[in-house]
Amino acid sequence: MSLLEVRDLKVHFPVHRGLLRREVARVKAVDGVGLSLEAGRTIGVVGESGCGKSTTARAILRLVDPTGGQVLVDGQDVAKLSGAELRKARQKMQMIFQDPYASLNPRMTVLDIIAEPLRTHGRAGRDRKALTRKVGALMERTGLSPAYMRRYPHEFSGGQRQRVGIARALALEPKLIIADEPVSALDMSIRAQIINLLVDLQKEKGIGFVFIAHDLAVVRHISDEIAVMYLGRVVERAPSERLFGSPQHPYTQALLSAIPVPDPKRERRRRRLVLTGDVPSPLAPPSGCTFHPRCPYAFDRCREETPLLEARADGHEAACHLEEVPSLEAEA
Amino acid sequence: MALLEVEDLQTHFFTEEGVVKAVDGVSFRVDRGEVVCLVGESGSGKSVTSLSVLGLVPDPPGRIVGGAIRFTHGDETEDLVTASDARLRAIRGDRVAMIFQDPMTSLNPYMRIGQQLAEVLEVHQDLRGAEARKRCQEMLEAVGIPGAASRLDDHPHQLSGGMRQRVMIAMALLCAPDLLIADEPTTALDVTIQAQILELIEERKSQMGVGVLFITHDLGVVAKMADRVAVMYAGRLVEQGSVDAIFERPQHPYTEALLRSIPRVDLDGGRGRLEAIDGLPPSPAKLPPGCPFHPRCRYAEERCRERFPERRHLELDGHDHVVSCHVPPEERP
Repeated sequence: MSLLEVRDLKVHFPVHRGLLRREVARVKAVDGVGLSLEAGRTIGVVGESGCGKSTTARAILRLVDPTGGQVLVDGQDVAKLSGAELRKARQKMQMIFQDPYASLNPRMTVLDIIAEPLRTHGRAGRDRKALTRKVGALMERTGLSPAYMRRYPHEFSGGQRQRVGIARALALEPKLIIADEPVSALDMSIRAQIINLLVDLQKEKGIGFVFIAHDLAVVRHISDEIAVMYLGRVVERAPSERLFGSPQHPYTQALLSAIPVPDPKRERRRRRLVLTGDVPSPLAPPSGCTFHPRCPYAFDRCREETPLLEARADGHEAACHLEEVPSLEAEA
Repeated sequence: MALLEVEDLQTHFFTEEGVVKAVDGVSFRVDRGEVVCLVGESGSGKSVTSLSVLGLVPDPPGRIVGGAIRFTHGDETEDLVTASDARLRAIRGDRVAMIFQDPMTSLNPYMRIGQQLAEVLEVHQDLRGAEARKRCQEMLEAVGIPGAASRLDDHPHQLSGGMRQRVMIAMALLCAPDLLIADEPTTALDVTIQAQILELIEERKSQMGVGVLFITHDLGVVAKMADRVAVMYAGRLVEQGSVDAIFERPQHPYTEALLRSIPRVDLDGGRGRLEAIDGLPPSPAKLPPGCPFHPRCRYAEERCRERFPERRHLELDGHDHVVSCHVPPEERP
């Protein structure tokens, strides 16, 4: 049984207008997403702003209610739980947020921040000293000195605050951690430290990670498998090296070729698939394949019929009407 | 030919906690038709350097306390440090233009795009009315905004982030500046939009010979855009050289460590550990003595703790290279 199995997940938001606040439209932020993840492994979810990756994360944690579909965590459908059952299931999953400045309560000490999930779920116990010891151990494990546990978030740097956020996520010993852009707000020389910490923790505790980011270099490094999203759908899913080695969806190709690589000689030789235009508004998505207005290979069928995510070779899945996408040689 | 020559620039902030040496002895130059990337982390002084060039350091608490910023346009060279406010205002937006990270905070939300663009022409070229509007429309078309004529009547919020950044670039280019200062111009954008904006800046460089001072922390963007690179750490310029030399033969331990620490999008690194740099960048208000990188440097010696290293000038692959480190690569373990 997979640790996490997301099936046909949909999150639609109603748009209300006018005096009577009538529903005039629906934004299909997430529209039929499927993912699966085994314990101790990482799935990276990538895509540009508005593609629905963060909403997917929030729906998995039930921070937003799904409109449809299933979210199975250890075989239990989180999308259907409520009350005490949902609270119980939530202990298995935790989230690490992007902004270490906004996600920690500035009026709480680090001790209270890290102990909060334990208290919320009635697992703090009566022994204050034992709780303090536990928080101290979590701080040590995440590279913070327990001597600072009575300090406030503003006394820490960005990287240290992200460590506090990680310690808090670990407090309940979750099986699943959803990390939404956990390093993108950090300085360059700090990112590698935090990435290493996450990789080490995963090896040690067998945690499954859903890793959401727009930085594909970080995602490539940390993920076993990657799902690429565009306008609320997964357009391609593959083992990490397969996705980078031979992307099967034109959008993935364009995304990969748009990222400048830290190698000036290679940069000068590269051929790019530069997309024109912006991501369309999710309020009025294009017909058929939603990528077709920006796709260099689009033909009639793409404007009419939405392609389904279908298996290709070697555990690779892509949602594209083309049987084979012309390979964009990375170097001309 | 040197378009901009910054020499021993010192910009300090006088705060209640003491003097913060945000920029401390920085020298570099930008030639015509060249992109110089200024690289560094937050607090390294890269943005204060660009604000100093523009004469926009908030005073108080900040002040340029030393050095020269020589800017050459036409046959004239003037020092922007000693230039009057009126002179700086005349140069800014005309000969030197800037693009900032967040177009939403740099554009006036109450003004139509066309009005904001036309204002630049009115101030610097005394151009108004239909002719100004025509120039603005041409410029919007040049930066790839579809339906430019009708966009002139839009307000900034009606445009996407990528479009707003294009408007900023159009505004910066209206008076055909000699020097463009771009401070993280694509950091807030998605990568497919970033690719479009970077191409636009490159075009201006190669076709119009604009010199570009490009501030970024993204080493991929540096590799794509830069002819030369200047690396800053804790207010100091620790290394500068040609883009190839910086990436292939970095001379400063910080540059070297930074290049090694980043995950690579173009290589299969496996799921292993990254070579992280230990510790944190120092607070600009509490710099360690000597070389500010020494607490994190794997090669640090006694002298590194005592004094900041002199600049050493080298030649690498036929290009000038400057590095400030006591321990030359051949003496490193």
